[in-house]
Amino acid sequence: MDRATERDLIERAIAGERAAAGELIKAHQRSVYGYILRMSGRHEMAEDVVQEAFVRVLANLHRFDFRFRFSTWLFTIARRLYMNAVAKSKPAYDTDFVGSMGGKGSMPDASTYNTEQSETQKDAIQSALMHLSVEQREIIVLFHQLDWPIALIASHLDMPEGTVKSHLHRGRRRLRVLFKEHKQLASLYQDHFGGQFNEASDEVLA
Amino acid sequence: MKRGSDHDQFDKEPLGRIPESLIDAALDGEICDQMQDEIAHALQYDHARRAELLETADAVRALDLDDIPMPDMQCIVLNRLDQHERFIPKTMRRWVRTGRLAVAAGVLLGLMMVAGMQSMYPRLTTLGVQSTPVDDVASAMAEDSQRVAADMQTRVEILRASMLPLDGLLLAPRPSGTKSFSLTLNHQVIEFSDEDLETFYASGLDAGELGIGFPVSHRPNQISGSMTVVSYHGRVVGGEDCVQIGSHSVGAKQSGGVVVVQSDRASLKAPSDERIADLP
Repeated sequence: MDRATERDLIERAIAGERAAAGELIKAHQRSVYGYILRMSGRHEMAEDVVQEAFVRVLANLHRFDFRFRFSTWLFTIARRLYMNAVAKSKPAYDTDFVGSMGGKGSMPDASTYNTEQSETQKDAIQSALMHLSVEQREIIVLFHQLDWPIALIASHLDMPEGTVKSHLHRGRRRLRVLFKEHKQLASLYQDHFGGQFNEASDEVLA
Repeated sequence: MKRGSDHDQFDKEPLGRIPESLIDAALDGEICDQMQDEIAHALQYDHARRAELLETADAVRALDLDDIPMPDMQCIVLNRLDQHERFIPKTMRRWVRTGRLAVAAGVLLGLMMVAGMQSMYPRLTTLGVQSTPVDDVASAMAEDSQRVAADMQTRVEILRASMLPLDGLLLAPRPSGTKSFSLTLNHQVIEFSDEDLETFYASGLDAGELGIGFPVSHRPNQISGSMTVVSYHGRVVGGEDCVQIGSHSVGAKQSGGVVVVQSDRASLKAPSDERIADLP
C-alpha cells in the first residue's frame, strides 16, 4: 500500500468510516500476525496481541503522526504488547499452528507427500526460530519475512544498525544449521511415527 | 582466547573459499549487481559455500506465511471498537469535541468570575477568619448598643403588661384586726388571739426556759409564719400555768408532742393525755 492510499484510509477512518478502518486492518493483519506468530510460536497469543494492537491503534488514530508509516506504529504497539504478555507469563511455544497431519492409513500420493513435506518444513522453521535468541529471531523475521530494511529494523528495535546486522548474520547462520537439523528430525519422526513433529517429538526421538 | 563470534569463525576461511561476510552482504542486498554476478560465478567452484547458501535460502523461504491459516480480524476488531465506544463517527466526534470545549470554557469562565469577585469583594470570597478594621468595630458596637437598648425596652414593656392585673391587688389595703391562732391538743382546740400570744410571750418566758432557739419577741411572727414547729412539755413556769414551747424543724416528730404551725393555725399533738391534762 502506497503512502497516499494509506493516508487516505487513515483520514477516512479518523472521520468515522468503518470501511476504511476495515481496509487498514485487512492490509496489515497478515504481516503483524505473522510477526507475532513467529515471535511467540503460538496462534492464541498472536491473535490476542494483534487484536489488541489494532484496537489500540484505531482507537487512537487521531493521534497518528503522518510523518511515519502506519505499519511501523502498529508493529511497535504489537511488539510492546507481546513483550508485556511474555513478561506476564513465560511463553511456551509449540508448532500446532500448522495443523494436524494424518500419517496413518493408506500410502500417500504425490500431492499428499508434497503437502506433508511443506508442513514438515514449517514445523522445522518454527522450531529452529524458537531456538534462536529473541533478538536474532525478531530481526530475521522482520528482515526476511517482512522485508524491512536494516535501518527501519534498527529504529524499530532501538539499536544501532551494526548490531542489527550482527544479530542478522549470526542468526541466519544458526537458523540454517538448526533448520537443516529440525527438518531432518521432522522427516525422520514422520517416517517412523507418522505424526506431527514438535518440541515434544524431540524428547521421543532422544 | 576463546571467541564465540560466528563472524570470526567464518572469517578464517581456507584459500579459495568465498568469505562468508561477502555472502552475508549479498543476502543483505548491500552489494551491486556486478558483484553479485561475480559471487554467483565464484559459487560454481565453492561447493561448500554454495550448499550453505542453498540451505540458507531454503530456511528463508520456509519463513513464508502464505500457507499458514490466520483469522480475519476485521470484524472482531471493529466490533470490539464499537463495544468500547471508541470509534466515534465524525458527526458525533464534533459534538463530543464541542461539548468538551463548552465544559472547559464554562470552568474557565467560572474561575475568572471568582477571581474578579476576589479582587472586588475580598471578604465575600475569602473563607478563612478575617481581621476587622477598628473603625468597623466602633460602628458595630454602636449598632449593637442600640439593638440591646431596643431589646431591653421591649422586655420591660412586656413585663409591665404582665403586671397590670396585679395592680389592684398591690394597691388594696392590708387586712387589719385581731388574728386568732388555735392549737389543737389531742383533739382539743385551744384558741389564741394575737393579744393572747403577745401576753403569753411577754409573760417572762425566755428562750432558755421555753427551749426556743430564738428570742421570744420574734415568736408571734414565727408562729404566724408557715414553717415554725414547736413542742410543749406542760411545765409550770413562774407559778402560773403555761405551755412550754420548744422549737423544732418542720416535720420533726417529738416525743413530747409537736405543734405544727401553718399559716394562722397551729396544731399540737401530744403523745399522752396526761401531759395534755397539764395544759391550762
